[in-house]
Amino acid sequence: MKTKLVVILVVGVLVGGILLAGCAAEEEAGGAIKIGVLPALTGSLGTNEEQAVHGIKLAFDEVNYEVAGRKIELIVKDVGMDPAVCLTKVKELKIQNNVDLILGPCVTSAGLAIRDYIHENEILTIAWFCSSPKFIEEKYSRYFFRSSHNSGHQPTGHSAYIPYTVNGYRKAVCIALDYQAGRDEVEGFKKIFEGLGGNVTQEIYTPIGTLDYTPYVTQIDLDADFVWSFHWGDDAVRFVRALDDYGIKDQVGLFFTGGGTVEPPDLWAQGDSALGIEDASHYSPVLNTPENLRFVQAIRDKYQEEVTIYTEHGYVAAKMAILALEEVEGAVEDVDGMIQALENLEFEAPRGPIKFEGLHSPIQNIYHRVVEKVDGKLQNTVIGTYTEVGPYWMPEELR
Amino acid sequence: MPQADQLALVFLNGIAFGMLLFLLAAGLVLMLGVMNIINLAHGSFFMLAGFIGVAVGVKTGNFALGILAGVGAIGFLGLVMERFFLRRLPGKSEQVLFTLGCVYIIWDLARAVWGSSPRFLSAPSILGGSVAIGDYQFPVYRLAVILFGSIIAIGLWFFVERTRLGAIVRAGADDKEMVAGIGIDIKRVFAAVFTLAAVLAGLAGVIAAPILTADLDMDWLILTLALVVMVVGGLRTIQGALVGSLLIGLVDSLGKFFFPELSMFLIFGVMALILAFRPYGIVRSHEKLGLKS
Repeated sequence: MKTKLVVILVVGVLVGGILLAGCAAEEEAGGAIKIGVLPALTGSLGTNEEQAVHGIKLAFDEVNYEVAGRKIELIVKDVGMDPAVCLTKVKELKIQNNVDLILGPCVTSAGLAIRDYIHENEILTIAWFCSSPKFIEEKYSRYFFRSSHNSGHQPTGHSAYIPYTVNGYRKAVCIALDYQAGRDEVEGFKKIFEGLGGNVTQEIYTPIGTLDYTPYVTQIDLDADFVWSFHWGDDAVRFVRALDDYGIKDQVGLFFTGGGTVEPPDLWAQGDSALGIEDASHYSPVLNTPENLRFVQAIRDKYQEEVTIYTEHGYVAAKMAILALEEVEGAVEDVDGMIQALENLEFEAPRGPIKFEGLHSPIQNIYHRVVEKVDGKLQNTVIGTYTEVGPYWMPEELR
Repeated sequence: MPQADQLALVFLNGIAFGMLLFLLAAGLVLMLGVMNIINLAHGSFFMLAGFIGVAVGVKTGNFALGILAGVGAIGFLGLVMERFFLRRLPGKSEQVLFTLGCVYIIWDLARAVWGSSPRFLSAPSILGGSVAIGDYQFPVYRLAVILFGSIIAIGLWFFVERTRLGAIVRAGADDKEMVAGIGIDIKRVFAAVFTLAAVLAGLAGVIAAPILTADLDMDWLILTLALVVMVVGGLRTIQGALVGSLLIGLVDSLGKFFFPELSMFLIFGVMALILAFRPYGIVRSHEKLGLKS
């Protein structure tokens, strides 16, 4: 009696297993493509990350959540600001949801935390920031791509090259946030600015979360030609206000590296203090190209909000996934094919033409921008364009 | 070598920042003295008042209305928190834990309403300009903050030391049973003190908006500094709060100027030093709320 029961059980389990496996195989071939999305919705980047998700959703909306006849299913997981949480969420996405592709995360530390896991498990990941050079140097993974830039080099190189060649500045004061990326940015700037023949007379590092920038900005040597800065978020707002409050802005030039200090939405909180500040960046929400105007309008229509660099980076990351999927005709399971497709991508993004040429970080335009007030709103007006700038761009003089 | 104008600037700035800290620390001192609790949501009051003040100030274009709205809202919030929650909780530790819970609730609410990017309010136009100090400019608004802070400090001193209500507050801090025994409703004193402290935090929050911007993460940043001020100045006197605030404001400002790499360490270094030599803070109180030591 007992043996009979065991036999029935074993047979039952076997039949069930075979049936399930069959279903799974069927899903593999033509089912929905599952894409995990990893924004840091809770925490101080919350609003920016919501905008990135809006950009991603817009991109999938444009193709009706369908590529090459396969439905696309987005699974959004909030990773907060803790890198360990990000890794847990990635494991969840892999084990529970069996995702084919991951979009995100934003913060470099989160990207580094998941890097080994996605590398060993061969999960294709497209981040919308993670701009540290580590991702294309010692932490390079063939499964990891990004839609952003290469901090410390791109657009940092142009934040040294333009003031030297266009503005004619020779003496610089560097002031940056006091952490690894801030110091890397200053190194990157100095390498090119001093290489060209300029002089950095002062380096000031300010802790993240500084409440009052007065003691820092009053140290600035007023004999310098210009102040170069790398700040973002609340620090950028307080820093720029202090430059104006203490009259420093009127006495020296200001030329910053892009993607941070005078970037919306922080720019809007800086108010008129930011007027006239120049920088180099790979995007501007007021870029006057058909693709960008269309993008800005689409986000306004769908979410009643203004585009920021975060919206654009989310959109471009999603666009990269969609274009690669189209290239392999929806065969997302063919990871090698997907990687090859991504490495050969070349398309018109809101920020301008973007291509990869085998790299995992974009080759793109760098814009010389200046803060202006148009119709009562502050914006980064583009006054110069440098095309096909690679992640390790160097001026011709230094090559 | 720093020039005289730079030094003057950094010095004045330290005093202005100290005055902001004083408004917060004074509220904390009153609460600790009378109710014997530390309100961990005090920094959140500051942060929330900043956001409300900026929202109203920007919408109406009137700075005074921003202050009124921020102070009114936080005063009301303080009253509600005391009347409906703190009063019903059985012990001090429950009360402190309750204020900790409020920190997270206020943070999430503020983020849901205003998002995570900082907001800025321009100084009122009469205080908008700046005065020249050597090669630099010093914003008139910060001078006004110094003046305003001094007025509040004198006002608070007068209230605690020279008025009947202040006498009740001091008595409440000394011996609650005795105060209740002579027919004074100690619960109302608690409510009044908690609300007053909330009003001070609200005031500081809106006044700080043109200097520090209204910003979500301000709650812990500013609470930490205010707690350091209390420890340095002495836990239970208004006078101690003033001395501690000015000292921390100056150490912060001068420290960042002379030793930019060590700024945060300096504040805590000063705190450790003072704790080592004067464990009760600079102004000793013998557990009394008041100005005599």
